[in-house]
Amino acid sequence: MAASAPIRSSIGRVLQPATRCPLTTSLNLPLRVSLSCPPNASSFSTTSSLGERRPTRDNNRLRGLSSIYRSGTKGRMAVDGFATPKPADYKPEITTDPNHGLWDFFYSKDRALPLPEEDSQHGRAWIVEELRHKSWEDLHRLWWVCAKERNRIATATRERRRLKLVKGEDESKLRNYEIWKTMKAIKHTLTERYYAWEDARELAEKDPEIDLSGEGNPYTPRDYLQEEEMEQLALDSEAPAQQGEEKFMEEKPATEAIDPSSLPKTEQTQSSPRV
Amino acid sequence: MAAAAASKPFKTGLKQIYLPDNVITFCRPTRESQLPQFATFKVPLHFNKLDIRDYLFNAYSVVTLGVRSAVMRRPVLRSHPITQRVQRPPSIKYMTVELQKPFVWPKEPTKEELKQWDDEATEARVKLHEKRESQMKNYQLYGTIDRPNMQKKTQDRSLLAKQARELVSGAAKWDNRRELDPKWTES
Repeated sequence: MAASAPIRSSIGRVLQPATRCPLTTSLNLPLRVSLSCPPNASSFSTTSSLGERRPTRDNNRLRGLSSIYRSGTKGRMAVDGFATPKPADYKPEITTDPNHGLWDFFYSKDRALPLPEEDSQHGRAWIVEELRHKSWEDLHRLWWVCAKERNRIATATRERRRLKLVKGEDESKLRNYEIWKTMKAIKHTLTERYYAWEDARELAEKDPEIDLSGEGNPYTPRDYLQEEEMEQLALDSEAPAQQGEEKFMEEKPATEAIDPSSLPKTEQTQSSPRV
Repeated sequence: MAAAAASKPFKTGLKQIYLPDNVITFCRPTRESQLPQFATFKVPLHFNKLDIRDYLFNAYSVVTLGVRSAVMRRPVLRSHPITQRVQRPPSIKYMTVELQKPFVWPKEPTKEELKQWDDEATEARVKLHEKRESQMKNYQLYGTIDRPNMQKKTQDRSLLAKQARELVSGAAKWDNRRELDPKWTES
């Protein structure tokens, strides 16, 4: 318990900036603190607003008084008779940088909460059909726009609840819903794209023209005309053997010369060889 | 995002997250004494200090010097009106970051400005609703009935009672400040 008192007195310092308080960053924290300040010392800051920030932090109204005499200092001191100087009640005016990144949590710099009319000024969500034509970079950027917008809405909603305002909540919810729909559409598009990629990969594995090894040219198109000629030659050489057989559903080239004008048009198109 | 990545003041995480769906709420400081060098955020429970630091840096280009986190437990709730089942809602995580550049929140709206959101009628309706709810709660929890005759007497009612007492005792005479027509006087 003896060690906890100095720690407790140093807890109040946590709220001060780390740069001003080297003790909190040092190692062996309890030892260092107990050496540097006596256990009954109270925290002190030259900034008056910080000095008063928690007047009764441990509900002890006798904080700082002697436990034996319940009074001030015991003996006479050299400083007796002199008025204790008090820190000036001075609060520096701080101007926020107009380009501060945290402004992105607000719709405007004047107020933290947008008016309901402003909140309802929005369009519809992006639909999947529109997003199918967008690149991954575009979709990624849009996602982050949505993510930041959601943060903005959450910040405004918290502010509205704090002020106990009713109007504007429905508008905010509708806005959030459109964002949610856009984000769903983005995921939908990307999932579709992934499935298309999977199918394409499956096809490419079967395709002899495509090399998926990752070395050399991945696509070497074959010469179809040459292939056909080769096949024709092969057929011609095997022609006498296959003459007698008749394959199922085989299309025979028309041997007899028929006058094209005598046939109806539909039949003519069917009988002509397919391209 | 890309502009901030040019010069990193600290080592950021290597795990690449492309489509995060975390909602980060910027909270107005509740204490007057919170310095403008600090900013408090409500974050998802799984967030850690490095997460919030990198998130703010990458998405908002805000440089932070330190992070303090606190998980706030919430009171138990009777989650079901009939079964009265007791449940504790999930805790809330708040993170206070120390900023390199101070940030002051926009000023609080004045009473006049607040009328742009809620007019007086809405405000009165909300107040009445709150009153009814507190009455219900008092009845359910403590069995106290908050009837109008149990309420504290308003100034109007006490004045009326005083006037009635005077009238009954004869200290004051009833008068409507009008001269009565002579035909009504008893002869």
